[in-house]
This record gives sequence, C-alpha cells and structure tokens, in this order.
Amino acid sequence: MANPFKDIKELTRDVESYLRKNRSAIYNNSKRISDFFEMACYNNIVRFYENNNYDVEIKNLQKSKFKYK
Amino acid sequence: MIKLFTDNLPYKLSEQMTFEYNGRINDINYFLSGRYDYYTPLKKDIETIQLLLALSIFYKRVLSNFDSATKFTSRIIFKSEAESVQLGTYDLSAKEIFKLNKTVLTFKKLMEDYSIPIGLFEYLETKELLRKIKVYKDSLARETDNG
Repeated sequence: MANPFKDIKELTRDVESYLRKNRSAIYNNSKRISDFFEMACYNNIVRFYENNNYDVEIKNLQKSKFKYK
Repeated sequence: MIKLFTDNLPYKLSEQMTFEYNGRINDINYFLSGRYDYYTPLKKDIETIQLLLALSIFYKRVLSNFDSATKFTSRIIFKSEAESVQLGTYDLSAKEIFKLNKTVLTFKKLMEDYSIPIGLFEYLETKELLRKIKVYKDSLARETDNG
C-alpha cells in the first residue's frame, strides 16, 4: 500500500489534483470559516445538553430557514 | 510547501496558515538538527514531514471547520422542517452541505489511500506531531518487514 515516505511524489501530485478539483468549494467556503467555527461550538453545546438528558428542539424557524445570523 | 494550500485561500486565512507553518517548520528543523538522537532518523524524510505538516494545518484550519458546518446544518435540516441555515445573505442548504461534505470526504479518502491516519493531525505542540510521525513511520516499516 502507498505511504507518504516512499511515495512522496505521487502524494504531492494527488494533493495538487485534489486542491485543483475542489478549488472553488474551498475558496468560497473559506470566507465563512469563522461562522463554521462558531457552528462547531454551538453543536458541542447542543451535544452537551443532549448528553445530560435534555431534549433539544429547534424552534422559531423563519420561512423554513434556521436563521443563524 | 504550505503555498500549495494557501494559493486558493482568502488572504487573511492564508497569512495565518503561513505564519503557523513557518513557526512549526523552525521547530522541526531544530529537532532534526542532530541534537536529539530520537528524531535524527527522520532527517532524510524532511520533504514528507513538510507535506504532512502542511496537510495537518490545512485540515485543522480549513477542513475541520467545513466538517463542523456539515454536522451542524445536517442536524438542523434533518431534525426540523428547516430547508436551510441562513448565514446573513448566504443560505447553507442541503445541496451546499453535500458539496462541503464531498470536499472533506475526498480528502479523507486520499489520506486513507496513502495510509495516513487523520489522528496524526491532532496535536498542539510541534514536538507532539514529530513524535507521532516517528511512531507512524516505525509502524509502517514494521508492517513492510512483516508483510
């Protein structure tokens, strides 16, 4: 099986190809990194309550949208 | 090596990643300079270490946040009547989440193809990363010897 110590050139080439193919998704979403990080915190808070036997429900949707900010 | 990843990123994020990479690469060069016998065998793999470091920074600073957004939005969409999550003027819909998720999964698949465990990217200090790389390399060598 391939590994980075003996197949470094192939790995570099495949990483370049991955970055090229996903360029627009990566660039566009990277502008929202801070929001995504906040979502991770939000998610962990919800998980904390769920783990402590609370029922967490989603309320007050606006036009079928969850308004994050 | 980090330039490969930062070329397609917004300036601010790209600067942060470059700063982190440069700081950590200085630490790595120090550890591989011959002062520590434990790390000396890694000296010839500097190119691989640079790439693994760059991959880890990209994963931690970019992809793990994509993953969080995917988990959060999936939670909202699948557990309620909501069709999307509104972020200011931008709507994070199931379609967008699918694209984001694909970016993360493709990366994980690539790492799997090269036997790189994602756990390698979980570290705080550079020394911790280097120690993980050493253990990882030794385990690959053992597998090759046994196989």
